[in-house]
Amino acid sequence: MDMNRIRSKLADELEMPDNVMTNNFDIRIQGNRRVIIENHVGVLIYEHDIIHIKTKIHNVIIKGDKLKIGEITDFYIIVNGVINEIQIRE
Amino acid sequence: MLSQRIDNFIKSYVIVNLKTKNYEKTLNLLRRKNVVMWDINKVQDGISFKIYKKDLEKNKQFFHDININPVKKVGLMFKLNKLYMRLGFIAGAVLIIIYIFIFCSYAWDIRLMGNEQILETDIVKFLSENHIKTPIKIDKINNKQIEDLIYSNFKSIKFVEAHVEGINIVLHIREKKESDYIVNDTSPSSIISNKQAVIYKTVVKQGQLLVREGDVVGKGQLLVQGTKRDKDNVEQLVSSDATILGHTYYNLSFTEPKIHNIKKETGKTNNVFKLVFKDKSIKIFGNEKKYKNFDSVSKIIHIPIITDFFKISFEKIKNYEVDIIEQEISKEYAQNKLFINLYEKLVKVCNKNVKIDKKDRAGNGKNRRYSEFETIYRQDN
Repeated sequence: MDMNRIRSKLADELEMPDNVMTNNFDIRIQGNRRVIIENHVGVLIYEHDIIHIKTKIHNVIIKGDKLKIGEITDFYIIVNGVINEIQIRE
Repeated sequence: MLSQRIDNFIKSYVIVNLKTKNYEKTLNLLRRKNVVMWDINKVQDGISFKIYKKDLEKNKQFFHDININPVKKVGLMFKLNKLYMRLGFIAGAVLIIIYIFIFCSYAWDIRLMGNEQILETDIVKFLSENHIKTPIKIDKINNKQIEDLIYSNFKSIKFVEAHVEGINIVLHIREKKESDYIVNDTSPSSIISNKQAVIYKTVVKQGQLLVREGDVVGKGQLLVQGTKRDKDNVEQLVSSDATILGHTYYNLSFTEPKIHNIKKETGKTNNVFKLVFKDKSIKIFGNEKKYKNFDSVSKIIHIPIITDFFKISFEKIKNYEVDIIEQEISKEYAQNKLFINLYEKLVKVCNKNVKIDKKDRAGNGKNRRYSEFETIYRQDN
């Protein structure tokens, strides 16, 4: 069991948000129009039909049409557009 | 989102274009530098996005190194910067505000309404002697004090009301009207003729008549003598009272040229501006001798405060170019014009007690003279 899992379990026990204690990302999807990803590391690919976002552990691949980065800060990234598919890869 | 837009506008932002194939790398670099980016649009050969002004200034060198230049600047800070650059404009705006403030807080003129006998200048002079002179601060104007002062000094005023109207002190005045009455002068007197005339009617109430109807009398001739005989046939001096009517004939002749010079506007105009200081004027711009023949209309432009304090005003002269055309006038036109001129002359010659009995005009048909005028007066002495 790696440290990340231990911290995740501890966060569950303490009823604290998971992303505060762990390196896990937080993803929120508003319909198929918007995706908000917190705890990201950076953008790997930015195209109209695909956006590849790197987090500390996983890579998040968003596929769709007319994709656009609405806002990007050190902490979160907002992706707008018609979202068809979200893949999470190691 | 509206609140977000307002926030962005206040904070101010710039739109930048990044023309490179590895734009993802640049985005990540900027993210690491805590630069907030939004509205990231993919364009043909790169991306365009918005960043805050403070971030741009903070990472100026970095943006310079990667060759990123702002395409458009939006926000309040940039607007203020623009205004800061236009110092003249701001100074002008501030001056105008100060000017309006000063202009509105002073009364610049005293206006009188309803005065007939009393002159406006007398009241204004009297008020200025009592330290009420324009320009005066509106807050310091005491209407009751002004009314009391005018009441106490001008006895012929029966009503006065003072109030401030805009930037003027307005005084409504009603004067006491003395009823007209005739003074019966009973001191001994005689009546003399004040004009040469032919007497045609005499009515004597008191005094001794010295002329008869049909007599020709000269100026200064005694008409009625102020004497009266009593029962003992002794002459006593009395005040003469009589009405003597006579005719005075005037022959007046005027000439009217057959050819008149008529001015016809060509439609071309020229403006000349002058700076007037007291009685002297200096030309600012415009050509005064642009046209050979012209008519001009002058207009003095007073600038409040500046004209009042420094006696500086502007004069705008508008010159209208005219062509002078010689034109022969008709006989009827000449006759009518002469008739009017002669009648006006006649009215000036006569005094109030005279009534015009008859007017005759006769044209003799000569080349340059169209009409002669003859009139008969009836004169009351």
